[in-house]
This record gives sequence, C-alpha cells and structure tokens, in this order.
Amino acid sequence: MSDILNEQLSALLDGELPPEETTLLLKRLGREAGLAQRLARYRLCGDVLRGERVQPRADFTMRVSAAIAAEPPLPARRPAARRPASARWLKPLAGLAVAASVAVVAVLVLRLGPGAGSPAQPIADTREPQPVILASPARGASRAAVYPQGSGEPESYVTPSVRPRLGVIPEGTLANYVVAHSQLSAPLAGRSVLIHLVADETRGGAPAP
Amino acid sequence: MTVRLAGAARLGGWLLLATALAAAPALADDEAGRWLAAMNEALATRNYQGEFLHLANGRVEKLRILHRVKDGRVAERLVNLSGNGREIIRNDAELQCYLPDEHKVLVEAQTEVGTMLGTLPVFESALEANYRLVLGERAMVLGRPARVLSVNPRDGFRFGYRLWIDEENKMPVRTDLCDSDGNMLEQVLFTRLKVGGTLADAAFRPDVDASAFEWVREAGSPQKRVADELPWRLVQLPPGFRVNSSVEQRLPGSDHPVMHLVLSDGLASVSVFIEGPPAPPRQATEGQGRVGSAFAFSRVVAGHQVTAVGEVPPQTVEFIADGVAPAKPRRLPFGSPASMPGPPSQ
Repeated sequence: MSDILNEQLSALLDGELPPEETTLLLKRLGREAGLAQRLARYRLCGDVLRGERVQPRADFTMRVSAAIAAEPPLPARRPAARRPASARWLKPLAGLAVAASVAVVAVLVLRLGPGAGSPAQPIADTREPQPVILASPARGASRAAVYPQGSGEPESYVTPSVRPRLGVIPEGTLANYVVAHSQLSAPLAGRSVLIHLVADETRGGAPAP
Repeated sequence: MTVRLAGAARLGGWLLLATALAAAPALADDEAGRWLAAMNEALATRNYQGEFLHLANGRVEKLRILHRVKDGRVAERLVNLSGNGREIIRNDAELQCYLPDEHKVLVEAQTEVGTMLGTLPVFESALEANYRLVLGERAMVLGRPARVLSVNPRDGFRFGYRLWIDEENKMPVRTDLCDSDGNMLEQVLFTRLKVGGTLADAAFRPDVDASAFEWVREAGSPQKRVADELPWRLVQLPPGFRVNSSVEQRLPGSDHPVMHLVLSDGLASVSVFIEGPPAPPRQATEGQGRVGSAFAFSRVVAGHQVTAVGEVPPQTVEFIADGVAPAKPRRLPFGSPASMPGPPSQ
C-alpha cells in the first residue's frame, strides 16, 4: 500500500487527519477488511514503541463515534420508501461495516484504571433525600452522599474510589452471579449483561487500565 | 363592556400562554416518556429477529436476536455470530446459557417474564432525581427515521443511555451505554432488524449439539421470596437506590441457598448475593470482577460471602457491598433501603 495511505492511517491514529480525509478513509476502511487490521497493528506498534498502553485520543474516539452515527441528515418526514426489504437493509449495512471495522481499533474503552474512573464530582443537588441509614463512613474514600438522620440534606457528596489491592472473583462464580442478576435486574441492564456473557469472555479481575 | 371582554380575553390568552410555558418541560418529559413506553411495548409484544453489533472495550462482536410472543408465551434466543458459538435461549420455564467453548450449559429457572432485549421503565419523577431525560432530534438509523433519546445520569454512581428509537416500529435500533460524562462505553447497533412475521419453534433451538456438554443446573427449587425480617441490612446506598425485591435461590452448581437482593434506582440494577453459612465449596473471596460493563465486588461479612453485581460503575458495587452488615432482625416496610431481608444465619 502507498506511503500516502500509511501517512493517513498514522494521522488518523494521531487525530491529525483533516475531517474530509477522515471521512474518506473511514469509508475505505469499511471496504477493505485488511486495512482495519493494519490500522490496529499500527496502533499496537505505536503503543509498544512508546512503551505504554496508550488510551485513544478523545477526539479520535469521538470522530469514530460520529462516523458510526454518520447517516445522511433527515430534512423532513417523508413517506416510507417502497423498496424490497433486502434493499432497505443493504444500504445502511455498508455504512455500518465502515463504523464497525474502525471501531475495532477505536478501543472505546472503559476508562477505569485506578482512580481514572472515579468521577469525584459533586452530585447534582436536585435529588430527594434518601432515607438511608448510614453507618460511619466506609474505609478509605468509600464515602458517598451521606445523609445524616433527621436531616433533609446530604452532608457530603464524594464518589468512592476503587480499592486497588483486591483479588478476583472466580470466573464460574461470576458467570452464575451475572446470569442470576440478569433475570431480576432492570431489563435494559439485564439484556446488556447477557450480551456480554455471550459476546465476551467472562473474566474476573480488576477493570482493565 | 366590549373593552373589558377583550381585556379578559387577552388576560386569558396570557394565562394560557403562561400555563403552556410552565408545562413545556413536563410535556417534553411526557413525550420522552411516551417514546419509552412505546419502545417497551414493542420490545415486549412484537416478534422480531435481527442482527446487531456489540461494541465494547475495543471489540466488536456480531450477535443475532430472536424474540417471539406466541399465545402469551415469550421465547428468546441470543446467538454470538463472531466465533465462540455462545447462545442464550430463554422461554417461560428456563434460561439456558450454552457455552461451547467451555463445554457447559448453565440452566436457570425462569421467574420473570420480560424481554431479553430489554425495556426501560416508564419515566417517573423518582427517576428524574437521578437521570435527566432529553428527547433529541430525528436521525437516520438503518436508513430509517429514528428519534434520539438521552437518559443522562446526574452523578457518577450510574451509567446513562442514548437510544435511537425507530419512528415506525418503536424498536431501539441503537443503544449507547454512557458514563456520567456522556462518554460512550458500549454500543448495540442493529445491522438488520425485521419486526413482525412468524418464527418457527426450530428457530429457538441451539446451533450446537450440547448433548455431551456438562449441564449445570440449579440444585433445588427455583426461588422463593424471603421473609421480611432477617438479619441483614444495607447501611449505605448510593442516592436513589432502593431494594426492589429479595429472593432465596440456588445458583447453578451450588447446593447452598443464596440470598439475592435486587436494588434499583429505576433504571440501573444491582444484585447483592449473600451466601452461607454453611460456606460454599469454594473459598471465600474478596475482590472484583467484571463482565463487559457489569461490575462485581465481593467481600466476606460475618462469615458470609457478599457480592454486589450490576451494570454500574465499579465504585457503586463496591460501595453497596461495603454497606452490607449483619443486623438484628426487625421488621421494616418492604422496599425500604434502611433494612432488608437476609438469609437465616442458621
């Protein structure tokens, strides 16, 4: 493949590719299966060269997300097109394939490393006081939304952080918990954990950094 | 007189306008709520089959879902099309989880009639304390018009959603799970979806021959609701979370009863499992776990294994698990977060 293409891929990873070129490259990534893999290799190489696991740049992730959503704007309601069902599905599929292949390398990660996923931000002050009986604050920073009894106002809003020193829950045990949880949980969340059970390896352990 | 009438009419007009303006946010919420209700109904009552991409943690997997309601009975099947062959098949009686890569089938008795694809609760004021619901613009998904609905968490204890609901069939053709900052954590994106039509029984049989697999079933009777006065309580909960239900059940492969409490803020759910004594055959654990964007945290409390699991940030399950404490039996209203049923200690 050409040097220009290599440069474009590199620029895409660095978040430095102009928007119009990004659009074209994303389309090409969708058409050429090998290209997405190559992009993933580039990214991995870059990580290794830098001796670190690099999080995707936010702007890159955002643009990939935007690409996933990229559909022509909808100016006004129009009557449903009478096309064969297959044709109706095929057209968007091409765009989705683009998004999917790129998203492989977009690494839409849960930013959940120690401390990274702890949004220690104030909780909105609009909620109702909860009649929660609170013991003394839990260990370390594990303290949140403490409502003293008899008081309608929370005393503090500190989102707890995750303890870094812990072990892992055995895989089989975790799977059982997840299945049981999915059956009684709010349906949207229940659906999601089941999807993960089917789609992903059940793995114990702390969240990936 | 004419002038006064005209003045009254103007005044009435202003009052109407003022009323309309004051009601505008409520109407917007109502409209969003109607979209959610319509989506719920579509998910629960329609037949559909489709394929979707599941994007999470830098991975993309393709799955197929089939859903049928026939004579009031729900059947669902969720199949991984990306290689590991895993499937979940659910009917009114049980949920079977086929794991060909582990030569196992997990089987759990079914207790809740719902839909695997999921529904959202009707938007209520209680939910509004923890989430902000925003009905967005129209957009195209799968070449069809959809409405975008954002369910934004107001704090870091829960995740949020963005939903693209098909204007015609009201199915959520795209669902984004987001953190409290609006960053996307995972996405379910349909690449094909057929709503309506019939689905044969054969469509709800697994692709794999699981006869040689190890079938891990529940040991005993499915589930029973526990009494209201038992020696466990939650001493701390994130805002808005309450105990919705509690059952005693046996997990697959275990002979020991497990207390299963379900907490919810109206949208997110967290299960708290309390096991033993007698101690389960495995060793007690203190640690974390993760399945996709569902997190778990386990610790030992008074000789019991306490595990919180839910599709919430890891801090939330840890916070909840940390708050489980033995308590003297006492009777409090069911549903109060201040107290909850627990397993008999003997």
